[in-house]
Amino acid sequence: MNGPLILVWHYLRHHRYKTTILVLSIMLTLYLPVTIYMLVSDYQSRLTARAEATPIIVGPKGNRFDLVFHALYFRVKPPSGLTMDEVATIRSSGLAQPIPLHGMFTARGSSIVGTSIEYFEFRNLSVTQGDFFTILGDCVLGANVARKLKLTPGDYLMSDPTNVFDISGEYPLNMRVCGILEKNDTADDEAVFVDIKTSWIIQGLGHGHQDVTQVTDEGVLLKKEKGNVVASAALMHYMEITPDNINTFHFHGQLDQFPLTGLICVPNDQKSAILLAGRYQGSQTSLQLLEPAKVVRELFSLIFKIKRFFDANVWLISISTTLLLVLVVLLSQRLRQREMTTMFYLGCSRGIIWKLQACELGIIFIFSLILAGILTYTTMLYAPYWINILFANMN
Amino acid sequence: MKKEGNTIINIRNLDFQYREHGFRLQIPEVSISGGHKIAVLGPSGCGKTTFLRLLAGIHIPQHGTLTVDGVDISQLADTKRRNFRISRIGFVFQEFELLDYLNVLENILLPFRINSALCFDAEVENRAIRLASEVGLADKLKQRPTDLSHGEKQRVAIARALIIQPRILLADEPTGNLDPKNKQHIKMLLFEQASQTCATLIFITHDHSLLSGFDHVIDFEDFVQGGSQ
Repeated sequence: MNGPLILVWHYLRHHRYKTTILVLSIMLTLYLPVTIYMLVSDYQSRLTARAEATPIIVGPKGNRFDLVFHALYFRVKPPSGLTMDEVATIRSSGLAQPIPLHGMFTARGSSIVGTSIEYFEFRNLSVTQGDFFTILGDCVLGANVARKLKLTPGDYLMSDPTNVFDISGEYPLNMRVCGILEKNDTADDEAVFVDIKTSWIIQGLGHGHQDVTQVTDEGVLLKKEKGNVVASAALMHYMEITPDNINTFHFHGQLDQFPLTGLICVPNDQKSAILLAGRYQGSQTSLQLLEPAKVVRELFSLIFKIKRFFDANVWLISISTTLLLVLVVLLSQRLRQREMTTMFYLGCSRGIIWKLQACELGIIFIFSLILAGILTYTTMLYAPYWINILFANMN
Repeated sequence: MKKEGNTIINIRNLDFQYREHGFRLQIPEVSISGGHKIAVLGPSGCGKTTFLRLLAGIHIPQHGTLTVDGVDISQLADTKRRNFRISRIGFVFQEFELLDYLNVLENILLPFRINSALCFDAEVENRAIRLASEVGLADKLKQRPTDLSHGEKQRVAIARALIIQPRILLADEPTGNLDPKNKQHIKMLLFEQASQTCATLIFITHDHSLLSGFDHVIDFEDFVQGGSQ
């Protein structure tokens, strides 16, 4: 280390608190705007990427943002009005492959998404452990849910009760974990996937209970006639689907009238997409067809108008912090005027004096830059996780 | 005060005036022999410090000649003048002017840290330790100036001035901030060190009690022309 650098090192070490404060101030001035910019860009690209990978969404008329965000992120419940017969209608049209979505419930805070096996193929999802669901009552966990709840295939996960006071309402279902999805840094990591029929069972549209013909308890039996048995609510309902009781599970009503909360459509080609869109135009239909990419872009155009104010705010704060730092440096130089004069008397050139001060600032700036870089890198490393948490908390 | 041969400082018809506040210093003729101890007397503002700055080549006279150690420093370019100062002039200040963030040893070595013209090596470091020992600071090499008394600080400043083995030692009121006992100690220390290194000592003071032992005394009241410093 040469002479001036030794002096700089001694100075910075001696004034370690001042140096640390300067380093932290510059680090924050660099870190905040850069990281916010990168996070927003990352957030935007993730939102856009998932929206662009989802060609069409069909759902009940109403708030299009709610519908798109529900179908993409399984949050924000859309208005009801979509039923299973729409799947058959679209399938029979031959224009697109429909993938039903039914997301009304949660299991220990994570959304339960009832869908068909085609959903995994459509999203290119694979399992790292176990397999996809094959029977009623099975569930496939998103990577983050499995990690958070420490569940592996073979474990059980109970759906959350929606209303503890409504005994005639839906019962929680204890689902068997059959597989864990590979992590893909999307909303799929935060969801619990079940077959759509399992989801309807959680809703109470289907159930399994003890065989009423075998019940002898008079407190349970209300009426027993030839070919007809009427039982009370005390009849034991199964809260878990097992090989022994699976045959007792049944649905009341027409399956094609059962509700969906969204429908992803994968059109065969561009022409099919246009033809399909035409079917949902006009006032005679209660459904709407949306292109998620357009909706998300529209949302961004609204958000980014507001973001400009925040950007301006961040830049103004950065400028004012920079000016404050310049003031601190100038005042510090003024305080050190005698020191510089002494050095000059001792033969130090003005160039070396400037070099000393430039070195001090340079080292502080480099340290700040390194710290800001490490922090930004760390932030961006965990950004997908934080962004997912942000979405998970969005209601 | 004129002395034939061995003249280290020679001034003829020197005329210097500050541009900012108009203070003017005129010295008709002064010659100082090498190895002598010179006291410079005079009230505040009479140009004593200006005289030292002129000798060090920090200021350049507008007229006249100023020869230091055989070199007309007014004729030197900035870099050469600085190199001249680095190699031949040692400075001791009234306020010590030590750097708080350096320990005693590093303060003594400061001229070698800030001048690329001076070559730092193990011998220089040994010299610094020896000087510190000679001025009575052998056990305080790692201490910082804030931990030292005024007298000790001035000893460090003297060691710093001597580290470059100067031909001329310029002491600008080095005893101004010291108690009477320390004043005599510091003066004697400067005498001793100047004698050891055969350096010429120019010692500014307005304390008449310190004048004993000097080879010559220059009274600056005679040179002031006007303005204020």
